[in-house]
Amino acid sequence: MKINKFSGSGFSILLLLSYLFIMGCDDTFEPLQENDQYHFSIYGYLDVSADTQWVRVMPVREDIYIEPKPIDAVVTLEHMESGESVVMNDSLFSFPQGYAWNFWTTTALKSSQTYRLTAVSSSGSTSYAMISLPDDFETPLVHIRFVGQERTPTLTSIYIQGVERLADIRTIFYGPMSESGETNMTDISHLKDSTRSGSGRWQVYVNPLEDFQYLTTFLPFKPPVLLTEYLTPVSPYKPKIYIASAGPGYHFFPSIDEKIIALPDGVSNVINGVGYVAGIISKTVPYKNCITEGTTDIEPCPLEPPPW
Amino acid sequence: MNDIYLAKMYRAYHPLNIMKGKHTLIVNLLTAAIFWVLCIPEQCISQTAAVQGIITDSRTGQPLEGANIVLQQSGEVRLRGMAAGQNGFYQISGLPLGEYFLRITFIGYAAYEETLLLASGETKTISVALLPDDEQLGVLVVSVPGTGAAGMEAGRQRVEAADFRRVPTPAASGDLASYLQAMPGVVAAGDRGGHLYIRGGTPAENMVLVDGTLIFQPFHILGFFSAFPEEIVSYADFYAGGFGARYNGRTSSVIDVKMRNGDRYQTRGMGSVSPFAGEVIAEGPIVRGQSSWIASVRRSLVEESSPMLFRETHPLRFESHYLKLTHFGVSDTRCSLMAMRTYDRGRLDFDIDDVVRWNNFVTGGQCVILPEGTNMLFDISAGMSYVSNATGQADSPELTSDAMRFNLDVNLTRFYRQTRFDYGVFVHIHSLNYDMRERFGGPQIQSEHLLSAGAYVETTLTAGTLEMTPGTVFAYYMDTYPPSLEPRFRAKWQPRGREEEQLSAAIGLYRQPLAGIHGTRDAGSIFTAWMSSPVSSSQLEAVHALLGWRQSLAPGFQFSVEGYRKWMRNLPVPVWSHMVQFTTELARASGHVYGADIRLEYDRGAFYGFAGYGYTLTEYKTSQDHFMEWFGEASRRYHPPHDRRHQVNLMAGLDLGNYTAGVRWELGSGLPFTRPMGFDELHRYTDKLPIVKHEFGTQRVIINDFYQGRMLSYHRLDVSLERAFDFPTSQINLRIGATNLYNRANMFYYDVYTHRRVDQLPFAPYASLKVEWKGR
Repeated sequence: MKINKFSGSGFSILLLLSYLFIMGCDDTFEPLQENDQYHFSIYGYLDVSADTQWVRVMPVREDIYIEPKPIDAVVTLEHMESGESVVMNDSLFSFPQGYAWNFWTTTALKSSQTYRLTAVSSSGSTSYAMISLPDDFETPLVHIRFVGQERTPTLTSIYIQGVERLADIRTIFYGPMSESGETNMTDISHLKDSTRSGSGRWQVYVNPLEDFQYLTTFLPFKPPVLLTEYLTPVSPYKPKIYIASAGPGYHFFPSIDEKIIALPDGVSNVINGVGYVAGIISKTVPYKNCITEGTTDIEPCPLEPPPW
Repeated sequence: MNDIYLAKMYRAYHPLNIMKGKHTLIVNLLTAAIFWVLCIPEQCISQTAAVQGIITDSRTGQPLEGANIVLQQSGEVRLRGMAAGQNGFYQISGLPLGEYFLRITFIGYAAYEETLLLASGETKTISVALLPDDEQLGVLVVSVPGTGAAGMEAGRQRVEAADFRRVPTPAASGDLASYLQAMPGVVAAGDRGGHLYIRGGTPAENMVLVDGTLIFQPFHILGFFSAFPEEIVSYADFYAGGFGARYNGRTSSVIDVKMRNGDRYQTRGMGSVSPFAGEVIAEGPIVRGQSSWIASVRRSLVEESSPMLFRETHPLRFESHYLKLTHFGVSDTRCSLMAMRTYDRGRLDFDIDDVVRWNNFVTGGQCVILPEGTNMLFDISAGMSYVSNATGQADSPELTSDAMRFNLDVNLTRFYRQTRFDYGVFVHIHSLNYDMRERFGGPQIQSEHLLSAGAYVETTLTAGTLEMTPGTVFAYYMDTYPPSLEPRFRAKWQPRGREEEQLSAAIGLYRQPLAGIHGTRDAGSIFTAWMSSPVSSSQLEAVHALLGWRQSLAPGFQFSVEGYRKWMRNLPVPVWSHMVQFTTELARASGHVYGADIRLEYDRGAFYGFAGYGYTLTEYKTSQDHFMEWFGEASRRYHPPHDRRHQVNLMAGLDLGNYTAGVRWELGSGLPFTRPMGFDELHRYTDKLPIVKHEFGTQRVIINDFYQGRMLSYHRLDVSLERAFDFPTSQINLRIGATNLYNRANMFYYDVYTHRRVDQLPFAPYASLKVEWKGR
């Protein structure tokens, strides 16, 4: 009996030693988890109002660096209603942080329609996104209030109608961004300042003073414009307001936790991949009051192209 | 008179009198405290006598804990005695009046004998400085049960400086860091970085004390070394858990290092050099017999030697400077002043420019006093400890942090018959600053101060062969945390009355007001920012429970096994993020650890052998806001990056005359790490739509789950051979050896972002020379 017990202990020790020995000899190291779930990372939006559609398509890669070599992907945009499809052109972009491939097409898009964006590698790995475009909406109305003899802007109300899902609203300043006069763009988001005031109706309050303060903080030099002037035609910054309406299924991102947005499957419409592709209609209007001729009534300003 | 006093005390403590009012109660409590502090109860109430004193080494004045004191009354057969405790203090009370024969012995020292005449109510102080006996030392061949690596006692291990040499170290002498890493339950992430994880605890949860003053980061960047080389250390009490009430403010372990005093009779010195480090130590009397000094300077040399040794520069540098002055006064007073500075700087990944550096400055004083006519030992220490950390580019670090701590600790020891009382008060002040500019975020700067004060009491009760030490520590934190009461209990029992067999156990509650936050970008990140608990208004908390058995199998051959369990709360852990950044966003976790250490040690004659196996399972549980979306559950269990499950250590040494050979093999199972699925750039739609022509996006790691991978297991063989040459006034030691003898490519860490693997040191042969001047 004792012998059996000893044998049992001895056997256990032998097993443990064997396990440790095998463990010590095992030199297989797999730094990456096998990935047959996410093939491509796809970001951007399709804009009915834009002449050219740009989307970012990148392979989900095995390290953080990106080599500027040709991408192994064919990206197509298919109009689901007609079945028409177009192969998008690739273009390698260089950024201070690395390289990126953007794909583009000048195919005209139709509002209220559905498109499928597909990326396929030579091995057949496929990721795709279904994108629904919204209905068109009325040109938003901008109303700036001024006070005093110097006509200092105090409050801007932007009235939007016919938008079920507001994807973007921002003020854009395009002009000298450095002392040497280099021209560039900066923008200030007001999506978080928006309030839904009824079915398809939004009201956005913008404080011009806060925008101006942001501009003066952002610029590395004293801007060559005063608060009282920066929204007027003499302003070198050509202020504009950009509004985008998104199609069905679009999420209102400001209400979603950042950590959830960062999850691969947190907010994504890319199947077998990661990312998000929105379908939008955008409108860009000058940041000014447009008055109906002969009256004091405010009316929608004529549309302008966005500065990108 | 004493009876009258007791009667007064009784009246004062009668419940009815206590009820009279709050002020009366406070006055009575104070009166009782004064009564307790100033008087041995037995001496106050009866006509007996007591003998007390401190036993020290005559040359260095170092206390000899464990020295045997035996009293025999003339004409009596019965012996009374005890072993000297901490600080070499002993006290035998309740002695009938009469003549006694006193004998004090300690292995390696000549016995001391004296005849005493004890009068009524007398407390006689007999402090003895024992003379080393070279002949005894020469025949000292068998380890004493309860000492050595297998001499565990409820998580506690006494590590003598001489033990450091057991572990082959690529220098001329041993080091506490190398020794500790050879013990089961102690995990180092690699051979660089200086971080030790003990029984599932993190480095910031370890308390390292140098002569009673805390040192924040004493382990050097080159993992073999610490601020504690064998020549300047007397011993270290290493508590892997279950430590008593005297220690407060940490939740994992205590390494209480007692530094050696300088020789108070002779001036001596030592110098050594190896490809890894060079060291000079000198010591001697200031006033012969009354005061001494000891100083050491140590500096790494691997930066200079590595191009030849490894064919590439290893940019790792450390320095340590140390000075201790000791005064041996009259009436058994010993006071010392100490200052220590360390500096570490290096690149853990030799191929990138990021540098990590830290430095400690510690200064403090300690006095051990046994005042004439009193019956208690005062151990008072006060000090200041400063640490600064920085990482990033050498000239403009991205992350900086510093912490300063002032301490005043007053510890008292006294006996009542066989019951020992340890109690004391403390005041600790922390000043903490950190500045962490996130790689992808804004600066985060914080400055805070933390004041704590408190008291502890510990009683060691003996009943036959059962010894129990209940205790508790009370701490008050100004404006930070609620008051804290931490009960603790330690016990040991020799069921058959034999010293060779002992069961020991400990259980206790531990709290920690400071959290040390580490970088989490990779396993090799060692930057530490100290702050008050960042995830809760409660302190870090742990409950330890452990049970162990020690058995002597034959003379010099002992075995011990100890199982342990820890429950932890309020642990700060990084929020699981997909972004590529050093994040200070923290979440709260709870956790538990369980495991067992098995040690087998043979120490007899010329041969020494040790085999240790450690099993540890560490599991954390954290709840974070996005887990429900991610995993479909609110909380997640995982094994943190220091969860080394299996650990084996084998050591052997052979002492043949002037030759000493040592060998050590260690094996550790792989540490957890996070295996990404891939990488991309995230575009958020939170503020505005991404314009992909103009925006690159934010680098993202696509992760399915955290810490689901394991790095490769680790094993290494180190060997050394030493030859001593004796001369009349000096000794020369030559050592040759090699670390990683079979050149195993042990992974230090793997950068999953760039797929670069960083390995630990390859095969490294070395030779060292040590020259000792024995003095005059």
